[in-house]
Amino acid sequence: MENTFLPRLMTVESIISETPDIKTFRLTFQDGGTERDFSFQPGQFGVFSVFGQGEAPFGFANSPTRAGHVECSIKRVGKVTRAFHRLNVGDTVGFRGPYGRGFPIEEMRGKNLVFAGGGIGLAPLRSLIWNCIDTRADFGDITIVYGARSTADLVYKQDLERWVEMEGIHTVLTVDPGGEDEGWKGEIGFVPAVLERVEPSPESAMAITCGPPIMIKFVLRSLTEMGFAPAQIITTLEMKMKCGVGKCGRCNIGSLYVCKDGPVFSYEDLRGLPDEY
Amino acid sequence: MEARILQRDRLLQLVDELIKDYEVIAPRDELSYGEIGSSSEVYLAEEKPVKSLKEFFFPDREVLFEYLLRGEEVKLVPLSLPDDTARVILCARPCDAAALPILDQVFAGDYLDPSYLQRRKSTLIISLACQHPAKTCFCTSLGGSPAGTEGSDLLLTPLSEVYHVQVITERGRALVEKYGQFFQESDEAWERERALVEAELRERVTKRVDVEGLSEALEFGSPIWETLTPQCVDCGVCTFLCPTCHCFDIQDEGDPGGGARIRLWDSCAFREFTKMNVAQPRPTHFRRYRQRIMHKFRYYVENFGKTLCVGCGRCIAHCPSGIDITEVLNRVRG
Repeated sequence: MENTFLPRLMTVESIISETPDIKTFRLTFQDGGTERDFSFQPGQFGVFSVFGQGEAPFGFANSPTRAGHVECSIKRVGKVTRAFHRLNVGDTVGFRGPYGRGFPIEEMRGKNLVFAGGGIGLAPLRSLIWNCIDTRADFGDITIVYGARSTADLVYKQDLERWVEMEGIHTVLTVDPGGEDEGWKGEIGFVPAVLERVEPSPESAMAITCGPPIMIKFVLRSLTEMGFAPAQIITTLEMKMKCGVGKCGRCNIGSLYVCKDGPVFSYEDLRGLPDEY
Repeated sequence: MEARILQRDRLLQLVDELIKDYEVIAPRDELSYGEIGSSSEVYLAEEKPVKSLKEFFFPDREVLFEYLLRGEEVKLVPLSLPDDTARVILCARPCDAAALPILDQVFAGDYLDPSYLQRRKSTLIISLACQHPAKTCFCTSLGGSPAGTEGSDLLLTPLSEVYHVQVITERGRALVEKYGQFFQESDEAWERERALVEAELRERVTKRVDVEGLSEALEFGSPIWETLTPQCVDCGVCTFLCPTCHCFDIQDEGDPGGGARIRLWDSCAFREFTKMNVAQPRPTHFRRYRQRIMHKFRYYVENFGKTLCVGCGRCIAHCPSGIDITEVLNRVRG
C-alpha cells in the first residue's frame, strides 16, 4: 500500500530571485519520472519539503504544457520558506502531490479570460496563463491585470515582458501608489481599481483572481459591479495545511477541505460556505 | 444473537492463555490501557481509563519515514509497517471500541493509512460492559450503550454468576472456538438475564443530549458561539483524550546528519493550528471551539454520516475549566 506521506525526491535545477523575498525553484525528479508518471493541472498544488525543516504546500507556477519539471515560487515568511531560500542549485527537496482541484479549464474553453493577480498570487495564474497561451485556439480574448506593491515586487518579469508584447493578450501592469520607480511605464494604482479602468466585459467571460486576501475581496466586488456573475469568477485560497489529503483537520471551511475540495473555488461556491477563510 | 458463557473465575485464566498467543492490551492503571504480561496486571476499576484506545491505532507520535542527509543527497528510509503480531484488546470500554469504526472513515475510507489499517487488521477487541457508567457518560444519547457492540469482536457482560459473551464478528467467533475449553453455550435464561442487565446499565447513564436534528440546528453564524465557553483555557485536553479527535501535525525531527518525519497529535484548540503568516481564520477562542463542535456534530455528519463523538464524557470529566459539552450543545440548540 502506498504511503501518502513518503515524498519523491527532486533536485533544484535552477533558482530565480524574483523579488527581495520571493524565489522561484525549478525542480526535476531524481527518479527520472515526469510525463510518464506525473501530471498536474494548473491550480493544483504540491507539498514540498526541505528535510530537517519540514513541509509546506505551494501551488505549481509552471504550465503542464511545458512539463518535464516543476516550478514553484516561494515567499520567505516562516521556517520552511526560509529553509527553501537557503537552498542551492543541486540540493535535494521532497515533493508529494499533486493535490487538490485545479482550475475548471473545460468550463473556460471558448470563453474570454480575465486574470487579476497581486504579488505572489500570480504564481497559480501563471500556470494557467501559459497553459492557455499554449492552447491559444481554445480560448477567446485574454486580459491580464497584475500588480504588486512596487516595481521590485513584481514577479516573473520576463514573462510579464513577453505577455505585454504578445498579440491577442491585453496585459496591464500596475504598482501601488509610491511603488513606481523612474521609467515605470505601467499603471499606478491598486489592482481592483485598475481592473475597473480596464473594464473587461463579462460577456462570455470568466475571471480568475489570486492575490492577498484583501485584494481578492475587492476584486470580487469590482467584478460583481462590472456584471460578472458569481459562477463566472474563480479564485484560489490559501490555508494552513499539513497532510494535503483532507485528514489533518486545519484547512476546512465548513465541511469542505481546501486541500481536497479546493484550493480553486468559484465565487458561487464560496458564497455558500461559512466565512472562515 | 450468538453467545457463549464464561464462568467468572475463568476470565483471568483465559487472559493468561491469550497472553501466550497474542500481545494483550488491557486497562493497566487509572491512566491508560497498556500491554500486560500477566492477568494480574488487568486493572478493573469503576472509572474508564483517562486515555482512550486511539493511541493503539493512531499513535500520538509516529515515524512516517526516516531520512539520511549526505551533502546534497538525501536517502529516504520508508516506514516499516507496524508488525502484524496479532493483538487482543481486552476489557475495552464499549465507547472506546465504538470510536474505531468512526475513525475508520478518516484513515480507512477515501484515503488508506497503511499503519492504521495494519493495526486495525491485526487487533481483536473484547469489550467489557460498563457496570458503573460515570455521571459524565452520555453514550446512550449517541446510539451507544454501556453494553454496546459497535466496534467490538466480542462483548463480555457480567451477569449474576457468569460473563455473557456476545459473538459479534467472525473474528470473535474464531477466538471463542480457538479457546473452546473456556466457553459453554448460552441458553434462554442467560439471554434473558443479559437483556435485563443491559436495560439496567442503560438506566445508569443519566446524562443526555438530544442529537435529533442537532446537525441542522448548529449554525455557523449564530451569535451564541461567542458566549458559550469564555472560561476555556485552550489547553486541548478535550481533544487529546477524545477517542474520536484525530487532527494531526507533521514535523521533521533530527540533526544535520538525518532524522525522521513524524506525525503528531494536534488540536483545533491551539491558536497555531491554523495560523499562517498572511492570515489566521480562527484567531479567537470561540472560533476554535465552534470548529470543534461543528466538526463533531455537523461537518462529520455531512461528510461521513456519523457523529464524531461516542459520549464517553472524558472531555467533561477532565476539563480544567468545567466545560460540559452536553450543556454546550443544549445551549446552542436554544
